[in-house]
Formats: sequence, structure tokens, C-alpha cells
Amino acid sequence: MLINVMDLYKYYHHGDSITKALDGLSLQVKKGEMLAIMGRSGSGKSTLLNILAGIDYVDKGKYYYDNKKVPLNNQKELSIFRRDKIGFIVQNFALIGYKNTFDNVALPLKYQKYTKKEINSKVMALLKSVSLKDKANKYPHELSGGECQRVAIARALINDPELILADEPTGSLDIKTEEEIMDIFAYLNQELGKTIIIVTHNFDIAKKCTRVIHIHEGKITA
Amino acid sequence: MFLEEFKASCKDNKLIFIIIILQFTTALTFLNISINGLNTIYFKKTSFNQSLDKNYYELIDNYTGNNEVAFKNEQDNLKRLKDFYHLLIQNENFNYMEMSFQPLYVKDFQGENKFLYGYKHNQNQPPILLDNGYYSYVYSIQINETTITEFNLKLEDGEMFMETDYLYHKDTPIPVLLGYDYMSVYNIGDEIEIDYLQLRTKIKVKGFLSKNSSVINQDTIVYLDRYIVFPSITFNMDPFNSFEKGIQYRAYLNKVNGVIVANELSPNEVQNIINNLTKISSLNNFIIIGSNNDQLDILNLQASKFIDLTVILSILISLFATISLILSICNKFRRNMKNYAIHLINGSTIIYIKKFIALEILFYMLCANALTILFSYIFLGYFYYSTYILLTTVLIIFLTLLIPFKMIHKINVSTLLREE
Ligand SMILES: Nc1ncnc2c1ncn2[C@@H]1O[C@H](COP(=O)(O)OP(=O)(O)OP(=O)(O)O)[C@@H](O)[C@H]1O
Ligand SMILES: [Mg+2]
Repeated sequence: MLINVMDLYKYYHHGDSITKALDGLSLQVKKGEMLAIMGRSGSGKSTLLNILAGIDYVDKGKYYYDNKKVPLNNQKELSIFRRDKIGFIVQNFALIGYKNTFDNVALPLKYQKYTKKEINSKVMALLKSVSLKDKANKYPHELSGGECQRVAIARALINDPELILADEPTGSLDIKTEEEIMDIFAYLNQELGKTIIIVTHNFDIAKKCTRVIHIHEGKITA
Repeated sequence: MFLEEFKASCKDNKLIFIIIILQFTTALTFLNISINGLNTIYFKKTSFNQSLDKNYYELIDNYTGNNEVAFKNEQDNLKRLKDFYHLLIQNENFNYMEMSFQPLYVKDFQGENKFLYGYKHNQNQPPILLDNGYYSYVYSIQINETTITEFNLKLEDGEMFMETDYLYHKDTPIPVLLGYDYMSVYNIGDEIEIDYLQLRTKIKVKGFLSKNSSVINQDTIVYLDRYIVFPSITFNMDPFNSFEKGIQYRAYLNKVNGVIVANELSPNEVQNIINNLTKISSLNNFIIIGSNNDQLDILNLQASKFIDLTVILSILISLFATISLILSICNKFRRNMKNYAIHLINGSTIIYIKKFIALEILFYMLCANALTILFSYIFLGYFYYSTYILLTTVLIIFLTLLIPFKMIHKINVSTLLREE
């Protein structure tokens, strides 16, 4: 089992009302799975993914990754866990405005020991596979929503992570690009054995995954 | 990588960036200048305290104008002056302090204008042509042993006056001490041609006074850094011609216009003693300006008030600047957090982010310290950097690092990334 989370709770309090973003959710994911998470808006999909990525705090719950406990509320150790294991595509892309496409994608590599040449060839190869080669020098504000999304995807993949978390990675793409992206995910999953978790509203995408779960009000329903 | 992020962080909000450096600089500059001020005031105060419990009486002759001419023309008056002087020196009831501010003419003077007589009032005189060259009129003071002990004059280099230095020998140069600022102009052992009250002679540099050496003259502090300190010379032999007699007259008139340092005597008692002495030496026309004690009290009071005020004010300003600096830095790094969050989901670690923060704060520190040194030059006229500033800097860095470090440990990446 690659991922094993148990009894996750995450409540938001606004005065008297409580939003139960996660309400005792448990989930296991095997190595090599390609999992789709579906559910209505506000059901807690992003919250779950953020916790799996180690970027959100939980109220309660346990998280084992590869049978090792993930220190859920220790930022210092979480940051190392993230760096070593996870490629994360957040819902709103989170690109750095003052970096162009190339530098945004190259960012994770700059935290490792790569030569300029290595960085250059890796980034350009990946940009080619997401059809962004000619946008390498453009800044985020010069790109369309779909292009930004593909930059975010490329950046999540550049480090060759074993777990890829994607929060609606094809939300603003046309069908053709969406298919291209899904082909990449499928390739990563089937050929390279990467574990992939995708949050999506799109049944076509869900169909391409090995398993689909549904979340409702912070719990898995099916 | 670091440089890139640093540049981006600075560019992100240039105003905050500049404000931070200004606040940092303000905090340090005020501290620096006040520490400098404290040092000087402390120095002044020690010399004040020395003279505080003493009564100073200024002795002033009444021989002016026609009076003076008549006085000099009378045959025995030089001898009377000398007698009177020796009575003053030898009197056991008080100490006699000589302090006259007679400028000197120095031949081929190479120093800056600040040494020239009249500089303080923007009235420099061009060098004048005396028979063998050009002479500049420079600040000088003539003192005796008592002056040195009264004002606790110390040397930076060289040797103090010895008893024999006060005695004029026709063919030996007169040993002098020079103010601190003269260190860049002359060296110990240099011989300089001068004209002192028309006495054409040589002086020889014996030493340099320490920085900020000062005396009190008519209730004001006179710093001697730009002065030639000349021993108040005595002439043992009688003048052998009328020219030399004139020189001796002028010298002795200066010498008897000194200050009586009397602690145990009332002004009346001093007046009586002086009257008595003038009678013995058959002189009259001496008046005494009252005790300086009150004025010194006032001066001293002002000094201590000044200390309190500077200390309190500068500490307040420094403190205020430090607090607002910390606030600005918090503000600055709060703005950076979103960016750090993005880095954190892209292979960065908390340790890296801390390095970003530390580097940035270090840069602020370097700028602020450099500016502080620069400002010290602008405000004080010379470069000054107190070691306390270094300590303060370290303290401020420590304080300012603490808060962003805490922020980064509590960072909520998901919330930051949800923000648009
Ligand atoms: N910082 C927050 N403060 C308060 N409530 C929050 C916060 N973040 C999320 N929530 C709430 O938690 C619930 C779950 O949010 P989450 O983003 O996980 O939903 P989602 O399933 O990803 O929705 P969507 O499909 O619209 O992205 C929502 O009701 C949301 O309003
Ligand atoms: Mg969501």
C-alpha cells in the first residue's frame, strides 16, 4: 500500500456554522494505481488532495506513506517529504508571475544538483510533450488558462515524482488538449508505473483511471 | 537561485524594500551618533567635574590704549610686572593658571585653513610677508603647568612640557605641543619658524594632545585640536635693547592676565590678596572678574541634561525605528509567503526558504551599516562606527529573523495557494 490515510477530519468553523471539509475519511491507494476522485463542488476533494500532498493541516487523522508515518503537522519534515515524493498540480496552477514558462518548469530542478545543460534538455523535452515548446519564454500573464495548466503539469512532472497529485488538471483545456494530457498521464501510469490521483468532474477522464471514488460532504460514498 | 529570488523579492515591492533599509539605518544611525555624543560629553564632563568645585577668578589689567603706552614708557614697569607675576606664581593661597589666546605667525604654513586664526568666523587672513617669507596667522594658546593639570590635558603622542620648557633661551627652539588635528601636518621633532609678539624664533614639536582636548575660557569650552599649544615663556634675563623689552612687556602682560584658581577663598579675599600683591610690586589697575563657579554650574547642568536628553531621545528613536523595522519586515515576508508556498510545492524545503529570508535580512543589515557609517561622516564630519552598533545589528537581525522563521514554520501552503 502506497497511501493509507485513516479517519481524516478537517472542519472549518465560521461562528456557529461548521463546514466539514473532511469528516472521518479513510482511503487506501496501491502503488501503480490511477485513481479518480469525483464529487460535487465543496465536497472536500481539494482538501483531501492537499492533505495527501502535505500542504494542509488536519484536525485529526493518520497518514502512512509507503508504511511510514507522515508527520502531518510538521512543516519542516513535510517539505522534505514533498520534495522527495510528490508532483503536485494545484487547482489554480500557482505559477510564479515573475518567471517565464521555462523557469517555472525548471524550478524544482533548481533545488537539486543539475547542471544548466541538464536542466535545459529536461525542461525542453517536457515542454515539447505538453506542446509548449514555443512558449518557453512567455510569462504566465501572457498565457491562456489552458497553457498555464500545462505549465503547471510540466512543472509537477519535471522532478520525476513517484506520486502525482492533480487537482482538476484538465479543467480549462479543450477536448483535444485534454486527451493529450490524459495520454501523458496514462503513459506515466502504465509505462513508468507512477501512482496518480486525479480530482475531476469529467467522467471521460474518470473512465481512463483504474479506480474512481466519490466524495460527499467529506466522506467517501462509493 | 538565491540571487534570483532575492531580486524578485526586492522588486516585488520597492517601497517596502527602501523603507526597511531606511528604518534599519535610522535605528543604527541614531544609536551611533548618540554613542559618539555620549563619548564626547563624557569626556567633557570629566574635565568639567575637575573644575567644577573650583572657583576661577580672571585677572585683567586695566592698561589699555594710552594707559598702556604710558605704562610701557615708565622705566621700572617691566620689572614690576615680572615681580607681580612671580608673586602670583609663588602665592600659597591659590594656583595661578596662565591661558592667553595670542595667535602665532607661522612661516610657510602648509596646514589647512581650519588652523588659521579667524577661521571660526570666516575671517581668514591671507599670509603676510614679513622680512624673510610668508607667515600665516594661526590659532595658538599659551599655557602653564597649572592649565595642564586643571584641564587634565593628555597627550596622544610625544612628551609633556617640562619645567625648563617654560624658560626662554635665545638660541634654542621653544618646545610646543600641537592639537590633535595637527598630526597630519607636522611630526614630532619638526622645527617651525614663527613670530610670537614680534619675537622671531623657532618652535619644535614636542608632542600632540589627545583628541577633543579642551580648556574653559570665559565660560566656554575651547577645543585645542586646531591649536598650537605654546608654553607661557618666562624671560630670565633683562632685555638688552628696547625691541626685546617690548617683546617681554607684551609677554608678561599676557602672563599676568591669567586665572586664579582658588577653592577656599571668597571673591573678597581674592581681591584683597591681589590688591596686596599689586601694592608690593607697585602696580595698580588690576581688576578681577568674579568667580566662574556659577557659570560652570550652569554649563555642567546643561551637559548632564544634554546627556539625558540625547540618551532618551536616541533610545526612543532607535527603539521606534527598530519596532517599525520589525513590523515592516513582517509585512514584507508576509507578502513573500505566497511565493514561498509555491516554492514549497515545487521541491523547496523550509530550510531553503529560511536561507532566502536570512539572505535578504543580511542584505538589509549590510546596507544599513554602510549607510550608518556614511551618515556618521555627514553628521559628525568623520567616520565613526561604535562597536555597540555591531552588537545592536546582531540583536536586530536575531529579532527580525525570529518572526519570519516562525511564520514559515506555521505556513499554511494550501490556504496561500487557494488565494488568487
Ligand atoms: N480556508 C478555508 N476556510 C473555510 N472554509 C474552507 C476553506 N477551504 C475550504 N473550505 C471549505 O471546505 C469545503 C471543501 O472545500 P474543497 O476545496 O476541498 O472542495 P472541492 O471539493 O475541492 O470543491 P471544488 O470542486 O469546487 O474545487 C468547502 O465547503 C469550502 O468552502
Ligand atoms: Mg477543489
